[in-house]
Amino acid sequence: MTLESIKLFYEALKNTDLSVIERLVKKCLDEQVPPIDILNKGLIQAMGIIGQEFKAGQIWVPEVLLAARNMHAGINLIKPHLLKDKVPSKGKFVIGTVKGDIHDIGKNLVSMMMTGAGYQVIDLGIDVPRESFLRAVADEKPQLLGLSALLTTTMLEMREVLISIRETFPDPPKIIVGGAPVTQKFAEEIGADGYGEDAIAAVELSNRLISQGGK
Amino acid sequence: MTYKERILKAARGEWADHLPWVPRIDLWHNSNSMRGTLPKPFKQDASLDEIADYIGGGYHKIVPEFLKVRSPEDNIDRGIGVYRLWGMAYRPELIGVDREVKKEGDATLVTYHTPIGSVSCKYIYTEEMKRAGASITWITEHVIKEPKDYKIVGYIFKNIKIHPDYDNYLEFQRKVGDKGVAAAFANLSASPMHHIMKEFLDATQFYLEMYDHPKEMQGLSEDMEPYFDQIFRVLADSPAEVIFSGANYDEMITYPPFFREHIIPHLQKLADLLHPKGKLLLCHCDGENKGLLDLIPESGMDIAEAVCPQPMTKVTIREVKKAFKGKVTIFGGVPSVALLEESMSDEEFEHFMKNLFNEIKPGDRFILGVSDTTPPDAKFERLLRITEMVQDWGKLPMTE
Ligand code: B12
Repeated sequence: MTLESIKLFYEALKNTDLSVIERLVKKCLDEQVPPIDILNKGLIQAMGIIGQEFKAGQIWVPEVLLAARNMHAGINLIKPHLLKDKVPSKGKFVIGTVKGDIHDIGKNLVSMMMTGAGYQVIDLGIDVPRESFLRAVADEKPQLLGLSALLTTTMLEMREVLISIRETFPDPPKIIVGGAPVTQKFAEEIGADGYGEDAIAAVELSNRLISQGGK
Repeated sequence: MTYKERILKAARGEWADHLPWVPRIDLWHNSNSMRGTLPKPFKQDASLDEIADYIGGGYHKIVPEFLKVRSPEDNIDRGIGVYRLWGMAYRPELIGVDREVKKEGDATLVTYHTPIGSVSCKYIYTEEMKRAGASITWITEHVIKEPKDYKIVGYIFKNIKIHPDYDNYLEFQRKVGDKGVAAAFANLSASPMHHIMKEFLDATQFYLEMYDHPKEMQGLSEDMEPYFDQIFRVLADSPAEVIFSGANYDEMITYPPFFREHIIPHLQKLADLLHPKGKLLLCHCDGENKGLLDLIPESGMDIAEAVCPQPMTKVTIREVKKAFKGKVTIFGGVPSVALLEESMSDEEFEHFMKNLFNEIKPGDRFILGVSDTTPPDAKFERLLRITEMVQDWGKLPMTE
């Protein structure tokens, strides 16, 4: 895929008209571009540029959410082909805001960026009880589990979830944590596998953990 | 000098005798009374003001009590961000709208029937939230679910009549006395668009709706203008010295272009009504202010309440002061985590506070407070320790 076509993907991700990205992906499929290339060299590369622009303060939350939604539509179109070609997804990521906490803007951004980066994301929502995390890990067998907390009180719940998961599953997913009050130091203290300062860091961290062998 | 005089002087950019220290303890009080864990020497039914007296700072009377209602009518319209609370200086009346209320366990379901259609919303208050001391209910079903709802909500707002309720406010002002400044509440949102963002749609959905239904959104925002205008006028004529309009300014949520386009003009409009009458505009600035620092002093805001520094945000008080250029009074400075033993050891806390006092120096345009509020598990002695520090180091202008 050429630079020129990355630009097309980038523009399509920024377009408020969902059909632009859909047409582009369909056109690539018609031209026999391997679906994995459409994903990795088109969509993910383009989303990477958007992530950088966001980090640099050139664009804002609405543009990122729009791009993430377009990305989602694009991925949905190539998904059947990827499955047919038996291309594994980059990894499964379960995320939720822990019990007692209803803040979800940050978690949603992380979800969207992770989807944008090619992960299969299962978002459990807000105020998620420990049992739901356990059930989701049992049912979905994700490589990564993300916990979000914005309150100093609920931050402590992260530790509880982490302990339960590791006690229940002999081969637990990598657990990453984030949210305004969470720090690298706290993440280390509770023994999380990683801490992400923002949604972009969440993706970089996940890529790193997955490349180190996932779970 | 009384606390009230001290706060007002700081708010007007004049020198008070001493740095005002005004800790907010509502969440802490709610939660600890509920759990029966108020520290010694308090009885478990000790009131918030009793504890504030003991701490020895001023009373924090800025954010209204959303849950302590006189009758259900007071906060029944919470789902559309409309209140009739004790202490407010105006009273909204819904005209031409039939309200239908249903209770389902922890949830309240409100449907608004108008001549052009109906909309509904749902909000909850659970045991869990009670124990956490949450001061406001949580909307689980937003009032705008489909494009047609914009017009209906617009109808509701176009037809709201705002009545002055100055006696209600005066009761509040009298109760606070000279221990603090009783702020007259306008809205948690600063403008119609900010209101749509905060109250009518899920936080993430709002941004996508800006792309999907810009015309409907714009129409609703216009329909809501008279509601804001009436409130602004009634408050400008009220007996209050300080008006509170708008909460949670965050560089991500109310990102700079949004702040510039949808928040500043309304703050300016209100400030222009207030300033000729000697009144002050206060905003609850809790959030990551970094990207907004240069915009805040352009807004006409006099007091930026709940300014929260590092380590909870990316800004330092020094940076905030520099950006505000002496035009805006900072109210805050102690991030809530500084009061928690898990986050800061006693030594770290002492060190943090020393440094904060250094940054505050010489102490003009500053009201020391907790941003945004004292957390339930705060170490109570730290509030008392801050009182001591203020006594020892807070004489204005602060020099050494
Ligand atoms: C908006 C907001 C609200 C909104 C939430 C709306 C929503 N749908 O989420 C409302 C008004 C409802 C709210 C309610 C409350 N809030 Co509030 N709120 C905020 C505010 C202003 C911004 C949070 C936000 O969305 N930021 C923007 C997003 C994009 O940033 P973010 O969440 O940090 O997420 C980023 C990173 O942290 C990271 N990340 C997040 N999650 C994850 C997960 C993983 C795995 C990774 C890797 C990364 C990651 O990536 C994200 C994207 O870059 C903060 C202030 C602040 N300084 O953060 C207070 C704040 C979080 N709230 C606070 C409080 C106290 C409350 C209430 C208890 C208030 C009350 N009186 O009732 C209630 C809580 C109710 C409850 N049980 O949860 C306090 C928490 C204090 C503390 N340390 O405990 C804060 C810090 C304010 C303060 N300064 O005191 N709040």
